[in-house]
Amino acid sequence: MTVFRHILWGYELTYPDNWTHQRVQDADAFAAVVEALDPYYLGEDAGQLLVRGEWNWARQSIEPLWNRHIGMLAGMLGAKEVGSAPWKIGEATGLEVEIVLPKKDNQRLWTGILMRDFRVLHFMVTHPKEVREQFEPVATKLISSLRFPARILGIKVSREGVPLPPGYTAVDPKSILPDISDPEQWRAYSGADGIGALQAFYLREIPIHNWDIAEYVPFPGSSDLGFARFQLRRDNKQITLGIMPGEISEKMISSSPANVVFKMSDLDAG
Amino acid sequence: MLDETNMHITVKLFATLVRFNNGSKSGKPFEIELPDGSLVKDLIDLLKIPPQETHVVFINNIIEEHDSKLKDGDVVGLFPPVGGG
Repeated sequence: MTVFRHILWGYELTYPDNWTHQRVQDADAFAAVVEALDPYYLGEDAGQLLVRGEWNWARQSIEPLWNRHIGMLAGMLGAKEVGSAPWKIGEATGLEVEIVLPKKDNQRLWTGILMRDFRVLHFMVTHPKEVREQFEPVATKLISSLRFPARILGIKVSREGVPLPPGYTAVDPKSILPDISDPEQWRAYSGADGIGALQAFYLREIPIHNWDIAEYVPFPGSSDLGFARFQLRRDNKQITLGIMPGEISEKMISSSPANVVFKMSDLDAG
Repeated sequence: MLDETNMHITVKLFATLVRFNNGSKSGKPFEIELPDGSLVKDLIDLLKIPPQETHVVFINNIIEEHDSKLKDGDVVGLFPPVGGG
């Protein structure tokens, strides 16, 4: 068995060694073969599981999140008879349902969402009806393997001791913040992960790396700041860390790709 | 002499929650004594903080919930929904 660990959302799933995992936009997909990641693939090894994280800083209750999730799916797929049943894995709780698709559609679709602290995971399983007997037990076992480890080892840190999300590379701070007058005080990192996933990562990792979070302005949130901001303190050092949407648009959501910038300062400097 | 049926918990309040510790510096640790078996929410009650104002609870730097059980020597950080602006 292979353990997949989502370092940003902080969860892990165990899947068969002969299965494959791929990132599909802001979701993670698991299937027996790469071809099965195409929802129209009809081979005997068809079927896929998609997992997507969502940042829920407001701790919105599960029902409105579920209604939005299910409403979107039902609308896209022309599904009917959409109900829900309570669902729980470990300390994560949520709702799940098998969605009845139109008869002409030969697919089965099961979906569920689970909430754990500020994280919501959306699950979607699809497969042709003919492969149910083979696919369903494996998918069920895979989903049941969900864990939220308290600590994830191997997180890289900057020279200043700030944890860095995997896949993020150092860039010229002025390429993200063209107006700054003191670029030597700034560090900037560019990558493709969503602003929600990055907030989940930093909220978990900052205290583990012995920084105090003196301030946190979440995004999206009630502030009109337009990005997420942490103020970190350790001894006499202060770091102001921004998680900035890569591009600003009206449709900006918590899965929009974001960059990480931070500025170092000395609390004794006055 | 220490009461052996009590636990000693180090507490750090952040951002706007500092007002529940005489407005001391954000994150400045202080010690509090609680009966054995107390939960995070008991600590929050003792500090007279409205529960909805404690959005994140860290126990020994790990995010936990209000109903998590405390043990002697734990370091608890409490953080409000929005700190700063």
